[in-house]
Amino acid sequence: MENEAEKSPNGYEPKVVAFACQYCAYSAADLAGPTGLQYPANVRLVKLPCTGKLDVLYILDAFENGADAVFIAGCLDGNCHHVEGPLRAKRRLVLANKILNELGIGADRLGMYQMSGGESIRFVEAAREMTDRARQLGPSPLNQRKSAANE
Amino acid sequence: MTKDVLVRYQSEDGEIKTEAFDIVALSTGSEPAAKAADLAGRLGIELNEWGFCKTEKFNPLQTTMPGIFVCGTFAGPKEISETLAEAAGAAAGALQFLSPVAGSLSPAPEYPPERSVSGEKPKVGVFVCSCGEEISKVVDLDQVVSHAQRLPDVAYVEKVAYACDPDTRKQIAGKMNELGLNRLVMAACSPRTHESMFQELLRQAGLNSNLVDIANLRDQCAWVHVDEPEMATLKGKDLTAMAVARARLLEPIETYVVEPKKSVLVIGGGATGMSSALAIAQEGFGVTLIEREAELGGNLRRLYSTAEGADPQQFLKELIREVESNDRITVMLNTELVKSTGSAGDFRSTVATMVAGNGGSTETEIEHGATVVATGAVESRPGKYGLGQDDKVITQQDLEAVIAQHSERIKSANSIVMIQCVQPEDQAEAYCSRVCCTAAVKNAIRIKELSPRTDVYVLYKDMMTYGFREQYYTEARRRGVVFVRYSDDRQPDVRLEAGKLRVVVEDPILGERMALQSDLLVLSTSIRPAETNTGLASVLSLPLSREGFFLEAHLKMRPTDFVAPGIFLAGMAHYPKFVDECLSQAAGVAAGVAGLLSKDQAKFRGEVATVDATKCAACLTCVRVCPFDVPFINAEGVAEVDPKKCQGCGTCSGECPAKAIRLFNYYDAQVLAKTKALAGQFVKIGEVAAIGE
Amino acid sequence: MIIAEQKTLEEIKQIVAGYNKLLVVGCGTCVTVCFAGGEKEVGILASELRMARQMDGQQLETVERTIQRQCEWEFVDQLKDAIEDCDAILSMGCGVGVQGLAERFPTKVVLPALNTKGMALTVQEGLWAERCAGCGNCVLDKFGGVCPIARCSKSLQNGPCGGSVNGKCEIDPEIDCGWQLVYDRMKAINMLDKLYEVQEIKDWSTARDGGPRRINREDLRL
Repeated sequence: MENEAEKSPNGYEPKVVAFACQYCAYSAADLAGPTGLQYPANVRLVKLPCTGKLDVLYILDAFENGADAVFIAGCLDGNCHHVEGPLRAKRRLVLANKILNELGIGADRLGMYQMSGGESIRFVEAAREMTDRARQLGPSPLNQRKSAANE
Repeated sequence: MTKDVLVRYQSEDGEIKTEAFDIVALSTGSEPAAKAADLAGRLGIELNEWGFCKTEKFNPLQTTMPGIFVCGTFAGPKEISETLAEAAGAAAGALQFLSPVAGSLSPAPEYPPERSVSGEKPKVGVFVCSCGEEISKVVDLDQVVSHAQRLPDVAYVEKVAYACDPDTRKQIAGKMNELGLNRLVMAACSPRTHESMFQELLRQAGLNSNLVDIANLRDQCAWVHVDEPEMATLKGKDLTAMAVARARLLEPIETYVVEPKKSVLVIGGGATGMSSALAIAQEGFGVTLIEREAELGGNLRRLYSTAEGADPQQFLKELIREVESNDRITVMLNTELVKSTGSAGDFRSTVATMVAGNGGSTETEIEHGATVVATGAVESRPGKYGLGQDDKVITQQDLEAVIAQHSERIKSANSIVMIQCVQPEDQAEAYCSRVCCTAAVKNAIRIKELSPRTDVYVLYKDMMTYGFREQYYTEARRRGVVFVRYSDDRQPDVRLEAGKLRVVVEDPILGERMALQSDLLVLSTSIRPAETNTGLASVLSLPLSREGFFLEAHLKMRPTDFVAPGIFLAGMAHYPKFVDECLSQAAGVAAGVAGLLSKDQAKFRGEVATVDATKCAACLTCVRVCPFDVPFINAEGVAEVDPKKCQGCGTCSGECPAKAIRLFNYYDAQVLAKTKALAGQFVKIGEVAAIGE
Repeated sequence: MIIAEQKTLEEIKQIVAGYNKLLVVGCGTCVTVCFAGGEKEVGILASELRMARQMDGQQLETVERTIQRQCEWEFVDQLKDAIEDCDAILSMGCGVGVQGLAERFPTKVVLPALNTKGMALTVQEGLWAERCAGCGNCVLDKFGGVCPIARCSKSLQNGPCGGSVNGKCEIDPEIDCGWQLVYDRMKAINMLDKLYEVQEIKDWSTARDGGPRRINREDLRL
């Protein structure tokens, strides 16, 4: 299958994948527009029922499939619909960070943000911050190797 | 010119300071809506002196006109969660009049029989909605359409103007039928707001409601990338591909149907428990009210006046009489909950009643459809400032009794000192107990009424007599009560000298130490969670807050629910609050109970975790990580999740080292289908097992 | 249960260097429970290795399988259909599992991904600690159910050494002094006097020192 998403209109455009809890972050993202906020179109959300469902494999898979940065967007500690989702997610990120560093992709391409369902500004900040970071860091080394191999 | 805002103010030590700020936000407080008086006039209801709706302390949701209820900030400034509890409570009030006809205006819709899609190859219909021009003015939908046409298993793509329009939905359902489509992808707005609508569309098409995925092209694309149409179009194509990728792997969902038991277990026989029991009984349901003490009443038994001048003892007497004479309510005293199993609509609990004299207990089994936790909280008695060592040191609750029953002690006192914000040393979290400032102010006024010559000093950190209660603070000052501030690092010092109490406090405003002789020292001690909370939380598998109070489903939006369906929360078990606030919540709970039990069938969507017994290593991980204590190792030695109790968070499945637990709608293959679609990868149907499922 | 821990990515990368199609095999029992080699870890490690290879500008293909136990022939045989076109098998089982696969597939390269760490108990979620050293001659009756062989760093049988500080072992302040535990336990069950018995020098021939061990139950074998 042809991968159209890789062709960006103006050179390198980072691909940022966000795994978002449906109760808080997904709602915060939804409310950005109505509150007059904009964020880079580089971000694609994958909805999870709770950041407690996050699996290290999901993060790795996103990078393996071309993400230049990944972030997890969950509830605030102590205000999780499922009590301790973000606490679990943060523990799992410890392992994910270690793996990304070992691989040479770098843990700075992975972020975690916490917000309430109404804090669209927090989501927008997260989206901007991770997109900016991916721009500064350049394409994921995996993508660089891939395009080198294709040439 | 920096255009900063300069703020000039006097600091605590008297110094005049000027500081520059970028923004100054004024907390302006709230006032009655402009037309409140108009509306009140037309409805014939009275307003209070501040122009808010007039209510009574013990009937907080009732206006002065019978049959008209009030909720929210029309009756005074309040917090979101309070307004929601009140809204439910007001609805419950209205229901009492409507119970014979309740629900008759909302007939259940009829759907064609559901067609099984098992064994069928996915045949995806993609409907791309322009939302008028909301989406299409940013995202080039023609590109999205042609992209979608080339995605695997997509059999049909169509652009529509308003997918939410009933006629359009009917047409989409028709198309699904006509072409034998078995998966639906809506490239439209947010699933948060519209998923249920598209699920219903599938029911109309004779398909299982779960076979839809939504690409959020409006809220998460067009609306937020207005200035980047090219990138937004690229993203729109990606989101659509991601939705198609997952939709191919979607399975029909099962719904669990329970015929609810028409009775309720209310735990706690204080004002909250009793008034919710009454409201529930008035809705026509049976109630078992259990109370661990030997008599009903809880904290209200120790309250002799309210700041507003209402008579709690009179109210309590009347409430107990009503509860005891209601033939739908069974009261069990000296009784505690020891076991509870089952789920919303179908609980089975065991309660133990202490038998007087022999120290033994008898157990009773109760079947009920809902559970109400109204176990209250208690005034703490920390061993500070001589409490428990000298009978001249008492708590606010003790003072209530002294004022009501031993007023001579007040009249003979030359000086009474109160210390606010007294928290036990072992109290892990500092929090405000909400009611003690008003209690202190109220009791200070009572003292002045009984004995104007008695000096009253209130040593405080921050006086919080919020809402209309502020008037009592003003009145206390008018009557000569002296308020002295203290700070956390300079707490008051209390000594017993020659049988007299001497209280030394440093006033940070005067910058001087004051020594006060005191005949009576009253401590406003914190309200702490009941000691039984931990045990009860574990019996009912409910979460507690860090402070040890019961934790509601959502801090703002669901103040009287637990995440676990069928269990409700009211009163001080939740956190310290005033009687009227407790009563509003009690009424709100009655509405929640009615919503659940008044239906002949309660349905639960099976978006739950399931265990593949062949993979389970019985490692106990799920048992340990589930925030709701749902999974258990069953008699066959493998983990099991009760679908009626599972909250669908997926924490167990995220942690399971054997990948033996799958969360419906979030199978690894379904989640990974989205990330893989980003790289243009689509799994072959039938090879899904290789992805780790 | 047997506990094990994954080797570092760097080490596994070197171990699998030169092989282009790997069968990554998880084991569904002990190493699943200790989060070292169950189906979840198979997915993560396979993804890691593919990406690591990509970072070197090359390709690695992985086939992922998890069987219930790598130490049983019947389960191992379930891999037969998958081994044919793989260059090598990367076992995520314990040392027994790796050898189980190697014995069953004599012409295949079988490689280890884990280091086997012993026999342990789950102290809490995410923390496992050794409790048995498999010495072949159990002495737990003499020490109140606390094993001085496994839990004392020096396997002393006649009381603690001088390195016991505040109940902790001198080799690592995170490790309890085994003899402190023995003492506390004997005190709790009122058997302190039993500690006066002098233990003979241990005969280690029942342990690994006596050569590879086997158990032969004639009553179970046809």
